[in-house]
Amino acid sequence: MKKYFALLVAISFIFILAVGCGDPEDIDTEAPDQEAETEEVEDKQVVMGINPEYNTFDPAHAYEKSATMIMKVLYDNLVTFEGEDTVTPRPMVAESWEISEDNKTYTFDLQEGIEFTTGNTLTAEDVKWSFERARDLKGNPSFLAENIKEIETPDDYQVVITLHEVDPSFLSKLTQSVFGILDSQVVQEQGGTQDDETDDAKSWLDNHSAGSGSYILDKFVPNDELILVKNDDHWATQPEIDRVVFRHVSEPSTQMMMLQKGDIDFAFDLDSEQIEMLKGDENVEILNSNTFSIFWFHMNMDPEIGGPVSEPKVQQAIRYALDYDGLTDLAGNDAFTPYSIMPVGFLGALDPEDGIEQDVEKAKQLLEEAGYPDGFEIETGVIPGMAPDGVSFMTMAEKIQADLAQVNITMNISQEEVSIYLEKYRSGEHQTNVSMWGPDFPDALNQLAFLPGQTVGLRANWTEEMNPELAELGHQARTEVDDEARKELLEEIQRQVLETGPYAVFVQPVRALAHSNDLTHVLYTPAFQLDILTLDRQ
Amino acid sequence: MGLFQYTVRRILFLIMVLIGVTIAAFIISNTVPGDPLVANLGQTAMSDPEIVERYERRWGLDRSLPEQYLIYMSNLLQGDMGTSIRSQRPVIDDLKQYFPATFELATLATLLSIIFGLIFGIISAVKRNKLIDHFVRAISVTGISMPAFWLALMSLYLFYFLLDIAPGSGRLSADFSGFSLQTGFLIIDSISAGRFDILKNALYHMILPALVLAGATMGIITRTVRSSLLDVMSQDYLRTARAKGLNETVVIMKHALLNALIPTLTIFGLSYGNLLGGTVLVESIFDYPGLGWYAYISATTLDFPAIMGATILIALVYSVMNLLVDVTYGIIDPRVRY
Repeated sequence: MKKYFALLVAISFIFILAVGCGDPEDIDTEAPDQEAETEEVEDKQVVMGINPEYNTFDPAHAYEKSATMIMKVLYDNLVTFEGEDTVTPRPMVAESWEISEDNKTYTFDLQEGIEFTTGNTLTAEDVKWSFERARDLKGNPSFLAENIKEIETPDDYQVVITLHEVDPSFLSKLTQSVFGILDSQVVQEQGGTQDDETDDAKSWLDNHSAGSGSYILDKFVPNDELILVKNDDHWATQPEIDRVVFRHVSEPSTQMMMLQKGDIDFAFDLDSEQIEMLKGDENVEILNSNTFSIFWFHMNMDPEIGGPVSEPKVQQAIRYALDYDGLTDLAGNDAFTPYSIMPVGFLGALDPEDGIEQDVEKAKQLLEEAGYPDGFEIETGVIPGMAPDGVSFMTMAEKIQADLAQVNITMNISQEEVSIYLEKYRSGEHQTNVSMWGPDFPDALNQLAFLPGQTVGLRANWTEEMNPELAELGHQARTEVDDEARKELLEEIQRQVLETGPYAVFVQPVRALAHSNDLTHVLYTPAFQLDILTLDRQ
Repeated sequence: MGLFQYTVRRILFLIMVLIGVTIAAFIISNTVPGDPLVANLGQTAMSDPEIVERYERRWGLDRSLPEQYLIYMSNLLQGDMGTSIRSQRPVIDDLKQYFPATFELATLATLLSIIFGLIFGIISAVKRNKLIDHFVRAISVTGISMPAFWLALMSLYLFYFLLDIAPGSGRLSADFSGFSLQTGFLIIDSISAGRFDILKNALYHMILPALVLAGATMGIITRTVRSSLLDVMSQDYLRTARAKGLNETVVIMKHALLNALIPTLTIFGLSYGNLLGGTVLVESIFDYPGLGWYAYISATTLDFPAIMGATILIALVYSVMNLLVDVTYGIIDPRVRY
C-alpha cells in the first residue's frame, strides 16, 4: 500500500511539475513540427467567443439563429441581401430573374462558371436538387420551402420555380440558409437523398461544407469549437480573414475576461451591465445593432382563460398602464418601444414616436368603464433566467408587475421552465405571459403571425371570427405584390392591432456586442448577424 | 465466500442496478411536464402538422411509454443508444466526445484531492489542536462549503485575469484549435501524435478546474483521515509500537495510516462518481465540454435518448467505482468477510 501511495504521489508531482513549468507564452514555440503552424499564424485569424445554439450545418436542418452567419459564408444562394438592407434582394448565383404575370413563376438565370469548393461546377440541377431536398426532408426550416410546387431546369443555367400560392416574400425567403445551394453530386455520394426516411448526409454535412461559399467548414466539435477557412477560389468575394475560430464560451463573464485579455476578438453574449463595464477599456470597442425581435405582454382572448384581460377595454387599459420608458431603460443598450407588432427595419413599420405612451389616469378610467374600478388579480407565465438579445424576461415581468400595481391590477408571476412555458403558450393556456418573437426570415410578412387566426394570434385564442376585417387585411397583405400597396396594408394592420390586439408590445431590443479594437469593418445586421465577409483586422 | 464469487455476485447485482436505473430514468424523464417538440422545433415549424407528425414518428414519440422503453432496451442491447434529438447525432458519438474530457478532469481532480486530503489529514491529526491543525481544518471547511461555481469564477478571475498564471477557458489555447482528437483523451492523443506542446497546453488548461473540483472532496478526505487517524492513534497496538521504540514517522505511516485509510476508501469511490456527473457548473465556467454539461443540456431540452445515455454511463461508472472500492476493501483488510 505504501508503495502505491508513493507511486501516486510521484506521478502527481511529475504532473504538477510538467504543468507548472509550462509558460503559456512560449508553449507554441516549442512544437516539433512547428513550421506549418508558423505559416498559419501569419494568416489573419479571428477568434470568436460565443455561446451558440447551432448544432447542425446541413441547410435542410440548420435553423438556429447563430447558424445564420455561418451558413451565409458556407453556401451561396440564388439571391442575397447586402449590408443592413432587408427589402431589396440582390443577385448572387442568379444573375437576373423574371416573375410571371400571375406572380407564381420565377425564372432565374444563373451565373456561369461557379465552382463548388469540391471542384464541381454549379448548375441548375444542383439548385433544383437542393431546394427539393430542403422542402421534402421536413426539417425545422422546411416550411420556408413548402410553397414550392415545381422546379424545372430548361438548361444548365436556368431554373424555373413555380409556387402553389402567390408569395411576395419569396425572394426574401430565398436569401435564407435553407436555400443554400449544395453540390448535389457530393451530397448524394455521402448518402444524401430528398426523403427524410433515407437521407443520410446530415452528419457528414455537419462536419463538411458542400457549397460554393467564401468559406469552407474545416472542423466542428459541438459545444467546443467551429473552424472556418477561407475559400481562396471563390468566384465573387475574397474576404480578408483567412481563418475564423468560434470558441464555445458559455459564461458571459468568461467571455468578458477573455476579450480583455486578448484571447478572443469578439464577445457575442455580454449583458448590458458587462457592456457598461467594458466602455472604459481602450482595447475594446462596443457595437450596437438593431434586432428584429419584439417583446410583448400577451393577453388571452378566451374569457374562460383570460377573465378580465380578454376584454378589449382592459387590454387597452393595460397598454396605457405600462411605463415604456422604464421598460426600455431596463432592457438596456438603447432599446426602444416599437409602434406595434412591426419591428423597426421592416417594410411599413410605423414611427415609434406615434405609438402609445403611459397614461395611468386613462388606464384607471378605462378599467372603471370596463367594470373593474378596484382592479383584479392575474397570473403571468414567465421564463426565469433567460435573456434573449440581452433582455431578461424576469426583469421585464417585475417592472410590468409594478406598473400594473399602480392601476390596482395584482400580477402574480408564475416562473416556468422553458419547455413547460412553451407548451402552455403554444396551446393558449396562459392567462397572460411575457413573450418574445424573432422573425423566421427578414420580411414584414412574418409579423402577420400576430393576426387573428394565425400562429401567435391563436396562442391568445384570437380567432378569425373575432375580427374578420383584420384577418382579411392580413390575407390581402400576404398576397399583395406591389410594395407600396403592401406597405399601406401593413400600416393599417399595425394601427388596428394597437387598438384591438391582445398584445402590449413594449421593447425592440438593441443588441450590444464587444470586440477588440484592432478589428475593422465590423458589420452586424439583424438579419444575418455578424458579416464575416467584410471583417478585417489591422 | 471467496473474493471471486463475491465479485461475480456484485457484477450481477450491478447489471440489475443498471436495469433499474434505465427504468427510473425513463419514467422520470417521460413523466415530467413538458414536450420535447416545443423544446426542439421552431415556432413556425411547430404549427405545421406534417413537420410535427414526421418529427414524432422519427423520434418514436407517437408510441406508448412501455413500447418506447422496450424498443430502447432492445436497441441498447445491440449497442445502439439512439440518436440525440437535440444534436441529431448518435448518442454514443456524443458520449464518446464528452466523456473523455470529464474523465480526464475528474481523474486529475480526484488525484489532487487524495494527495492534499491525505497530507492535510495526517498533519491535522498528528498536530491535533495546534495552530497548523486549525489552519488545515479551516482550509478543508472552506473547500467543502464554498460553492464550486463561485470558487471557479473567483479562481478564473484571480489566476487568469489578474495574475496571468493560468489560462482562460477551454481544453486548449486557440492556437491549437485545429488539433484533431482520435480517442477524445487529449493526454493520450497528444502523446501518440508526439505533440508534447499540446500535452503541456492541455495539462495547463486542466489544472485550475481540477483544483476547484478537488476542493470539496479534499475537504471531506482531510476530515475523514483526521478523525479515523485520531481514532486509530488512541488504540493499544500503537502504544505498543511506540513502546518498542519505533520512530513516530514509522508508527504513523506504517501502523496507523493503513488502518485509518479504510473508511477513506469509500469516499474516494463515491466522490469520483460524483465528480463525473456533478461537474456541470465548473465545466460551464471553464468551458470544458464534458459529460456534466451534456447531461444538463439534455435534461433542459427533454432530449430523452441523450438523458438515458448520460444516465446509464454515469450510473455505470458510479457502480464500477463502488465495486472496485468494495473489492479493494477485501484486499487491504482481510478481516472483511463477504
